[in-house]
Parts: sequence; structure tokens; C-alpha cells
Amino acid sequence: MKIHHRITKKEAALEDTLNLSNSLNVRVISKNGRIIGKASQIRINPSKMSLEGILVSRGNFKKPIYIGISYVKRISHKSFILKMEPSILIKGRKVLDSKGKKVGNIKNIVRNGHSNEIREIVVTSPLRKDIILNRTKIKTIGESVILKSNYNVKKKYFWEKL
Amino acid sequence: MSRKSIFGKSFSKTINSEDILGKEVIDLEGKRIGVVEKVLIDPNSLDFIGLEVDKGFLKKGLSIGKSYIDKISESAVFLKIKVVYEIKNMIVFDKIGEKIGRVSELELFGERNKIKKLYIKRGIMGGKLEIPYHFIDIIGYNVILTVKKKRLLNYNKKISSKIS
Repeated sequence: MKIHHRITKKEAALEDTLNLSNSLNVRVISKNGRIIGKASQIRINPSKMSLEGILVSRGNFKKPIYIGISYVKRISHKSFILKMEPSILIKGRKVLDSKGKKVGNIKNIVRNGHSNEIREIVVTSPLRKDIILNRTKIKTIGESVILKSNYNVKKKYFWEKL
Repeated sequence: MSRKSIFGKSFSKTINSEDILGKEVIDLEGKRIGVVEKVLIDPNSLDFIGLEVDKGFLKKGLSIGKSYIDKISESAVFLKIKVVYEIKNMIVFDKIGEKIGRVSELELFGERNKIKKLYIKRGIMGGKLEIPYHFIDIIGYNVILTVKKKRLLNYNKKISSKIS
């Protein structure tokens, strides 16, 4: 690092800070190591002058994701590592009941506000009505979603009344 | 026709091998591992000891001990674990998210589902990078380490200098 003058009060020394221009276009990795995309923008709050979040671009045809800084675990010039798995990315995953039978695929996710917390998932399967499942009915969210044993999904064909 | 029985107790709640064979095997996180190919029984104690799983065309089979099975249901066999062999080919990132390589081999503690070391193949010349289990932070979609790349390379230098 070049020799420099320093004018600071309580702020950290230059050596202890990170040049964010080097962190642009680096990988954004979820808690479990999934590559989410690349950090295309790093956003700051102009009034608080603090880091607010990152905009993650995911390639053509996919909407970018704005992730709040409270979900970021580590920032470096190589990557951003998140504290969580973005819940919106479970769309399309298989849903299995507690016996391993396929219930359908996730069509939509309802979250608590803009947080990463899932409130409900909407499950769809061909020729059947969509099923709305509360978060409390879910046992595991991983490669597929497994439901709790106390919940038996009653599938209804679309011609059946609710 | 009614069947005769010398079972000693009611076997209405038991399942037979036909109920298990061909069932999907699903790991702790809902990942499909394969289908049950064989039911393994100890010839001396006559106990059920595990399952052999067919992972698909051109893939090596996998034996899973009884203790790793959570439950056998109508449609699938659920495991209590994530199968460590699924780590092969995952990307390894260091502590700050720098890509180190892909898992090429792994060494377990005996035949348990516990990783002792991971190996990453580096370059065409076939050099290998060893990662001990205590350097591993998270195994999920990929692997994240607890150390930076520099420390891992130093660790490997030490090992190779000890060997030579």
C-alpha cells in the first residue's frame, strides 16, 4: 500500500479497511456454498453512510437479487459469503410428504415481508389444485422439501370442489 | 388361501424385502441417492444390517448401514445423514470464498460416514492438495473451509517436505 496521509477520528486505519471496488463482480456464495451470482452493485445508505446491501446479478433472463447486509457473513475481494440460503431460490424444487411420495413442485414462496423467512409455500402438480402449505408443516428444506409426518396432503383434482 | 405361520408373533406390522427393493433412498436434505438394490442380512445373527443402493448407470453402488437409516416408508427409505460420497466433484472455497478446486477423492474414518481428508486434483500434472477434516467448515452445495488458501498451501508444503 502506498504511503499516505491519514485524517481520521475513530475510524479504522486504511490497512484495516477493504477497497470495495475490488469486490465488484465477485462471486456471491450462500451459507451452504451455492453460487448465487455476482455482486454487480454494492449499495450504501447516503444518510447513515453505511453499507446497506449488495445487488446480485444472476445472468441473463434472471432477476437480480438485492440482499441486505444483515444477511452477509463475510466480505472479501474474492467473494461475498451469506449467512443464509436465499429462500426464493427453492422455487421449482420437489415437495415430498413424510412417506417420500411426491406432492408436487414449489410454484411460489410467500415470505414475511421482504425477509428471507418463509411463511408459506405454494405447491403445484399437474391436473391438481395448488396446495398452500404453512412453514410449520415443513420438516426439511434442502435439495427437495420434506413435509412433517403429522401432515397428510389431501390432493384435489382441479374439477373437485374445495 | 390362508397362510400357515410358525412366526411366534404377529408379523402383520413387518415389511418384506419386496416392500423395500426398488424404493428410492433419500438423504437428510431430501436428495435422491438412488434405489434399493439389495437388503443385507447378517448370516450369523440373522439381523437386518443395511441396504445396498444402486446409484444409477455407470455409478458405483453404495452400502448403507442400518444405523444410518431413519425410516422405511411406503414410498422411500429416508436416511439420517448426508452421504459423504456425494461430496465428490463439489467446488471447494476457502474462508473468503476463493475457489480452490473440486473434490477428486476422499478418505473416511474407517467405513463410517465421516470425512478424514479431502483431496483436490490440481492441474494436468496430477498434483493433489490435501484438506484435513478440521479445515472444513461447511459441506452443502459446495464446500467452504475454515482457512484461507494460503494456509492450506502452507499445510500441504509442510506435508510434502515431511514426506521427502
